[in-house]
Amino acid sequence: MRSRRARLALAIAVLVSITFIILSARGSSTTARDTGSSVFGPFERLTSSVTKPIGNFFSSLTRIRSNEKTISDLQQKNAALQFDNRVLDGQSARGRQLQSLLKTAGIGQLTIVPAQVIAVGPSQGFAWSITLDAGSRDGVKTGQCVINGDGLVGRVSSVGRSTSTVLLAIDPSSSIGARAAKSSQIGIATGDGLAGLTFQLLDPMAPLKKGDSLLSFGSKNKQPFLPGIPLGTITDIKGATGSLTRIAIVQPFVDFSGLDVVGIVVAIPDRDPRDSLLPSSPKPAPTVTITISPTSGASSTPPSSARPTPSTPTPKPSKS
Amino acid sequence: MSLFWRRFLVAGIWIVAAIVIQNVILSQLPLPGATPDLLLVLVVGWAMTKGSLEGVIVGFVAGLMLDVIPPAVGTVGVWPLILAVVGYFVGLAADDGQRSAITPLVIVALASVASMGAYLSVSVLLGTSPMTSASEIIGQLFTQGLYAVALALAVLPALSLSIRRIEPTSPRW
Repeated sequence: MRSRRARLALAIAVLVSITFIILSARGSSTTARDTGSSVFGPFERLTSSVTKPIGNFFSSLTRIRSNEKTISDLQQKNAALQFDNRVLDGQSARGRQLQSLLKTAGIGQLTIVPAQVIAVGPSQGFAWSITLDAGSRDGVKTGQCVINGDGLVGRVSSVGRSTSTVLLAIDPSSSIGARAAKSSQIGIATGDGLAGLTFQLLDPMAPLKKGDSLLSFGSKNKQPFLPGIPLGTITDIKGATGSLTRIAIVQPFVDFSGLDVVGIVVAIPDRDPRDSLLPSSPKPAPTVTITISPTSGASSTPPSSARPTPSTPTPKPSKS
Repeated sequence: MSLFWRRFLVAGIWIVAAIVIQNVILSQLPLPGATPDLLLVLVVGWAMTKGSLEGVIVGFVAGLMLDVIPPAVGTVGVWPLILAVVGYFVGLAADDGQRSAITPLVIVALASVASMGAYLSVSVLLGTSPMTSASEIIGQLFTQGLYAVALALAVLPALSLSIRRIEPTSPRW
């Protein structure tokens, strides 16, 4: 008798689950997720606020030795940057004029809501997602772009009142239109878990180089992805030029396993920020859409002089 | 409050607590391989104590919660399907098997490996299969089973205690 009821319950549970799967596959799971986020997000916030300090304490214990190395690295970097700064002072006045001429947007033009990671999806789902402690009351909406200081993190997939869920760029279901910065070739960057991203060019014959940076190409109406946000560096190219299966392995700029504070882009700039968000500020790739000067050759010169790159004369501080 | 509702309130608290702990604490620990699956241990423990009928119900509700509580993404309905089936079969196995100290741990390990295998299979059927290598999947399955046994050692006695508080007649292990 008891086992008959159990069998009946199992049959019902299986049927209801399959119904959910079908409804979800048709794309109507957002409401359930948003409700789940609103109801249970606060629990995760609370637990995180209690456990985070404890976790930070223990992780800092394990990092004491590497911290010393970090400090000396940072001191060296600081010296180099101070030197660069003096060089830049002289060029900044001219740079400002060119900047306003170009009307390119810096990262400051994006309106960003900073948020902290409070929960990470378990790895057995093979899905890469995080919960942030900012929600609809902070102006976060589904489909907004999430970035951090290094580059593109992902997009908001569901929103509760005080929390939101982000689908990371390295999730296998995430595809981002991308452009190689130097060759300007466009393609699609697909997530590949902790292995990073794979980049497939739309034109199999197009040139592609190791070490080239990958920038987001931008979505329609700049949602979910803004154009020009750094994605990663091409570390390897598989397949010969011209083969349909040629893909590039991309190492993301963002450290996805160590995400902590990220920014949700809640308002987008009026104008296209182009490539001005690249971290090491190399030459922004001249795109055909920049038509600020009457001569065609001049379009690539202002960016290179406006933002002095590490490759332009930057003597090492040891020489000074 | 009737015994029936008390039992489901306790189960609900356990489920939400397990998911929150799993998402906020366990998934951020620097452990190799899979995230310790606290929720699965809970479903297995409940089914072993209370039989397959409650195993199905608790498994279904727990799976649904897991698919809805942030940061869940992907298809809603896969986990309730798997955990309901796991609850049913664990309940059956616990009904007719003679108890020893090691039996629950073996059941937990088998159930955790089976649930992950089932999740991968359903993902392949739905076309949402993760593009991961075989070696990574084997590593995940192995660590999954290992962590599940370790969690079971701590969680099963606590679960059994909280069930016996509302229902002193239920079996203990």
